[in-house]
Amino acid sequence: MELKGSLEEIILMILLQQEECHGLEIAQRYEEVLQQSISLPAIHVVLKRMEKKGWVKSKFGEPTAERGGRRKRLYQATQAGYYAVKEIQEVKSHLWSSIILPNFKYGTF
Amino acid sequence: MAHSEPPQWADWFIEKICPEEYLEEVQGDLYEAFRWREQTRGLPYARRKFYMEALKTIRLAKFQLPDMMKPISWHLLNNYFKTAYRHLGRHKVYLLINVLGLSLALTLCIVAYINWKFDADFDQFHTEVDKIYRVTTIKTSSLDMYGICPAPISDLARSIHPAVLEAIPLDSWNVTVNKGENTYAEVLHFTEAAFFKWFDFSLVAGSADISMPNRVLLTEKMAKKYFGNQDPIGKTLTFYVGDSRKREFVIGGVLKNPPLNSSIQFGFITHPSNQVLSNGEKLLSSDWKRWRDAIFLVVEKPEALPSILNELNRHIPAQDLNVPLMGKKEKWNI
Repeated sequence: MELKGSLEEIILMILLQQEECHGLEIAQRYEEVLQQSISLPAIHVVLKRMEKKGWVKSKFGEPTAERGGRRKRLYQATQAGYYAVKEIQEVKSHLWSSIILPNFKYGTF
Repeated sequence: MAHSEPPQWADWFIEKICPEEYLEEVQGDLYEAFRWREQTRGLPYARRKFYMEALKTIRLAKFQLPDMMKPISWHLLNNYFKTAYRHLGRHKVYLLINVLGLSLALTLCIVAYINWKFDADFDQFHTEVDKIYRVTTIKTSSLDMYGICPAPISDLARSIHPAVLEAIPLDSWNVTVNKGENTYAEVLHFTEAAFFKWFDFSLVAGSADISMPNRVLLTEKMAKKYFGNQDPIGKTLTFYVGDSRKREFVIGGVLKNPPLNSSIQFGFITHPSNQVLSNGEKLLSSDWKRWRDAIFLVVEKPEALPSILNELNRHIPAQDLNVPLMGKKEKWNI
């Protein structure tokens, strides 16, 4: 199990869901889903790391005016990325399924 | 439509810090995010976020050791630290004495410096400090020196020599201040508007104009004491001198607290025209019987000091006629 950290996991899942994304789209989607803001450099750092691991691949998109004439870099999840998320999800759901509703009243608090 | 631009120095910072291969992507994303946030949450928020994210691109940066540090053997250095750590662990009393001694020495150095700084800066924070002199009085019989001097000196000094730019009297009375149910003993200072021109006691709020009748200025400390967090400007305080004299003053402005290393300390300041004596008359600045707590002269050229002194000393007989107590007058730098 290579995947560590929930940010990698969430970004990978967003990429799997959206097919093709650049950094800002990921940030917007993240805020939409999790209702909390995230800084762009944090996403970029994670994307670079995952690209090195081979879970995402990227290519340049078209330049637009609002980016000051700069090109986007579009990210896409790879097959290896899919299996990495799948693995952690299976481990997590296995762990979760073994949890029954605990008695929070136990002990004297 | 004219677009507002993202902050420039943040942009410059990204270009400096971000590796070349990521620059286009990262900068583009930040620009697009700026536009998006400007439209959804307004310009100030977008600018603030841009600054923060620009700083955070430091996470993408690749740091390299400067050439100077490359020959250093880090493993060996680590080893030195490790042996030093173990050695100190085995001699704990030695370590304790050394650490305590060094920290005590450093602390004392810092305390000594603060103490020296306080002393060296005493009264020196006024920008025109080189030009301000205090007139002192010397009693002929005993040669004792006093900081007070006769009231007419201020008018006299202004007229006798062109180098005297201004003469600023300063007087203080013990008064009782009343507001509602609260009554406190305070000191009220009397001075003229020129005081604020030459001394750097800055105004926080309101106006420093004390020449209007029944105006008083107070310090932030006093504003807090009497009015809490309310705005004191335009409010009234009642001042009592002795039992019979009572006067209401309107607060015209709030001053910064005078620094601790200033020899002029005050809480309330008003104009000398508000100085009413017990017989109901105003304190006349031409009366040789009256004393001021201090008179400051603003003198342009220090060379002129001896001649100003001579001119002032010619009036000793006038003073002696009224109060045959004090003699020669002299000036002192404050």
